[in-house]
Amino acid sequence: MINRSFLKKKTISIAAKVFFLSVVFFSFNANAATTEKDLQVIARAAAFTEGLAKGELKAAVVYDAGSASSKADADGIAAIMGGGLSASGVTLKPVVMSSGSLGGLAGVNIVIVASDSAAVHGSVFSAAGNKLTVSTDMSCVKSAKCVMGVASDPKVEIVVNRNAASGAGVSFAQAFRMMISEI
Amino acid sequence: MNKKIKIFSTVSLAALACSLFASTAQAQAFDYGSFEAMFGEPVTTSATGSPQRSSEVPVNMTIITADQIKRSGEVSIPRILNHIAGVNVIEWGVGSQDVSVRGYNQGFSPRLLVMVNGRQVYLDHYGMTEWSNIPVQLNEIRQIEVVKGPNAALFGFNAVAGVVNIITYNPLYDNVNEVTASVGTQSYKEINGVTTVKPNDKIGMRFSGSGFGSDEFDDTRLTHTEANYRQDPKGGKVNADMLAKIHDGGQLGAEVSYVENRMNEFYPTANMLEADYQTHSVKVNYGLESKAGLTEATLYRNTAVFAYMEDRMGSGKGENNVTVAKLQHLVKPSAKHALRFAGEYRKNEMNSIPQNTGEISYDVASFGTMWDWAMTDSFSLVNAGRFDHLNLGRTGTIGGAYTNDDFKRVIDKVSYNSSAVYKMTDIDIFRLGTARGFQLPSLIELGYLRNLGGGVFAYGNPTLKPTEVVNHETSYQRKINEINGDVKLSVFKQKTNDIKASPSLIDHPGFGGTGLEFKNVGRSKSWGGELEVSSQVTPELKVTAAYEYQRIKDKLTVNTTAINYPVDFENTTPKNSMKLNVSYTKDKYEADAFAIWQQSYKMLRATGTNVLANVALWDVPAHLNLTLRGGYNFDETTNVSLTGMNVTTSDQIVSSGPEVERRFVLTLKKEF
Repeated sequence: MINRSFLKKKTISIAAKVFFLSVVFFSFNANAATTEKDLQVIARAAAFTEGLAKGELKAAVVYDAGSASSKADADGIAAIMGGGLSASGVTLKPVVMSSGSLGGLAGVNIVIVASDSAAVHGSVFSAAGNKLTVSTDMSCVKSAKCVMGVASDPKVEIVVNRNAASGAGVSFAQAFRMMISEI
Repeated sequence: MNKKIKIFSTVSLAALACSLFASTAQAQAFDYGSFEAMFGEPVTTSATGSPQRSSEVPVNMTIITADQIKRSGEVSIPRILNHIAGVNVIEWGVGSQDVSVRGYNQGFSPRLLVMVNGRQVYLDHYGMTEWSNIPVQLNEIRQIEVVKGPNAALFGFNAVAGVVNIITYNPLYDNVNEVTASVGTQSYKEINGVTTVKPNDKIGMRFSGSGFGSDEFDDTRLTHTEANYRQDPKGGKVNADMLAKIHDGGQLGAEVSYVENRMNEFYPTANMLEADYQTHSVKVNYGLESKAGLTEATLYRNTAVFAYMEDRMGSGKGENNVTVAKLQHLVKPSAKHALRFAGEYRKNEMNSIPQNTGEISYDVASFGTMWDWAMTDSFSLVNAGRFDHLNLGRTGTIGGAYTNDDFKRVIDKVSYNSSAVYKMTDIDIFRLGTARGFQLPSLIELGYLRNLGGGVFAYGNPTLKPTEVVNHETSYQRKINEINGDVKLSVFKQKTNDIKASPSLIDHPGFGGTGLEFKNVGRSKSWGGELEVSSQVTPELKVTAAYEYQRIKDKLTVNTTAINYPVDFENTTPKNSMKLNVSYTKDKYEADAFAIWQQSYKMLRATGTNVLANVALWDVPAHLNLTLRGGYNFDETTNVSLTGMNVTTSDQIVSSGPEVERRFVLTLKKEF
């Protein structure tokens, strides 16, 4: 006969492991390195930003100076973009920037926030002013410190924070708005 | 048309237009290509009127891409549609096919609304689609959107079994320059060309044209009378499409087309006879993107000049003119809600045929709305409704049982689509929906007039009720990484009321009837589903397989002891079908195969020598139809391919029409 107490403990143990693995999994995903596919989506989505000129755009890739993984993601983004990443008539030319030198954001067109930069989301958003801020770290857009959050795996997801967009004075094409998620 | 409603419609549309056009115009218009590239999947507006990703639409939709069209090797749109689960295609001849969704297919299939870029190419005179007369070349099609089930809340009357919206490349955003030449067995020959001209970045124009000819299928199964009215199919088409940015956020578009074709068709009377069509159209539309949303105004006029076998009997041609004015506004007022408001006015006119002694016409005023409510990140409700108000009338002299006063009739109908969409995870989506639509009696069904002599008339019936279709369905779709593909299961249950049927000889006064007329003949129920699996097995190999089940139960008020009317859906729809698509690419080589297997069923066929003859059920044995294609790319711009259709046998029975034949077509494509 099966011991009920044993079963209960076993169930709790399994549930705890599943919970732990889930947390690890989703934490990992939230801070996953930005991929080329992500950047393609960012470039294409940027093309639907009202008032943003087509052609060559300067994209600041901002990382948290206090986070090695954030710096690594920023360097990875810059490596993927190389001399310029082109999509939908937009060419994003990367400029890697530390959270310690945000004054440089004045000369760029859009701001890509590297993953693992949660500690500087607020300061980056403030420094970006009326520029499009975008990150693959969805916590940035959920906390209204990025205008846009992007994911490309397992399917493309684009999330725009209406308050952040309104605060930054950034708006998007109507058809684009109808096909993405707004929060 | 009711004067109050007309005034209300006009004022409402004008007020909506003024309020929107007064807004500040900004940003850019809808561009299928850019959105598809960004989302990694096709996008569409054919589900709700609002732009949506194909994976997130609240209806059961399949989108056939340009690459799938190319790789199919097929030479006609119906043959391409046949690759989709749940779509039924009957091939009556080389230039003649009928298409339906989930059964109920017949000659002059009336239940599927077909459009090109939202412009109806469905012909109202007989409530049917003449596929050969659709004014597009296969290589200028961006995608074919197929909605299964009614979508009348968006498109109005006749979108009852489903909708096919053919989307062509955008002349402003896309460049298509291609010439295609094909030759084949049975004297098949076709040449077509498409070119895009962009004088500057604010205007784009695309021109296309083609000519086609072939021997028809052999006619060994035709009756002697039918064989006298038979011709080899041939035709040509030209189309011009223009789009211009006329101000910030505003685009003006125009399309003109002309098509002429002749072929042999399976009439609703269950006869195989010749038919000639000339169709032409003019369309103008204006799109505006403003802070208030997306607004589109469209005006078009379709003309269809048609001649059935009566023309050879000296009875003249019919002409149907349809004029449509539409205004639509889309707005997303908050993060969770999107709304659509639409108004439409339609004028439909046709001379009485075959005796040209009067004109039958109706106008329709419509108003529709849609509300897409994203209740949570994963759950949304989409509700749409539409009210159509139709006024029928007739002028001129008339015979038979009715007077012109009998045509003074109003039809008011409400259609709806209601769906719930649950995105269970990033890879699962579940849909549940219900919808209702109405299929209008065609102008011929309402106003046909033929004096058979001796005081006997065959005539239309102005009291015919529209056919109501109510559909409930659910579907579940899941991405499966293990097969690098997905699986989709759909189940539907459908009810059809007030089915219409063509006249029967039993109505002849000599048989105790009062005259030969179209009738409502009862109702029908159906249920079934589709199971679809697709897999990108390797980068080179893609496989899709589908199984479909359709079961229909008719409850007719006629044909209780013998088949007197050419109507029977229960026996004429194959219950079990399977479809398999395989595409393989290796370096410069392409290999494609499409196989369809259908269980045995029966089909109606007139048994006598008279057009209005009694009909019988003919056996259609279980059959496998295999299409093979091999292609070779000389470079990025030049492709040669050989397609074999029905390759397993020289000819075989797939309908009650002529047997389909094994055919080969060699095609050379050159992009420039």
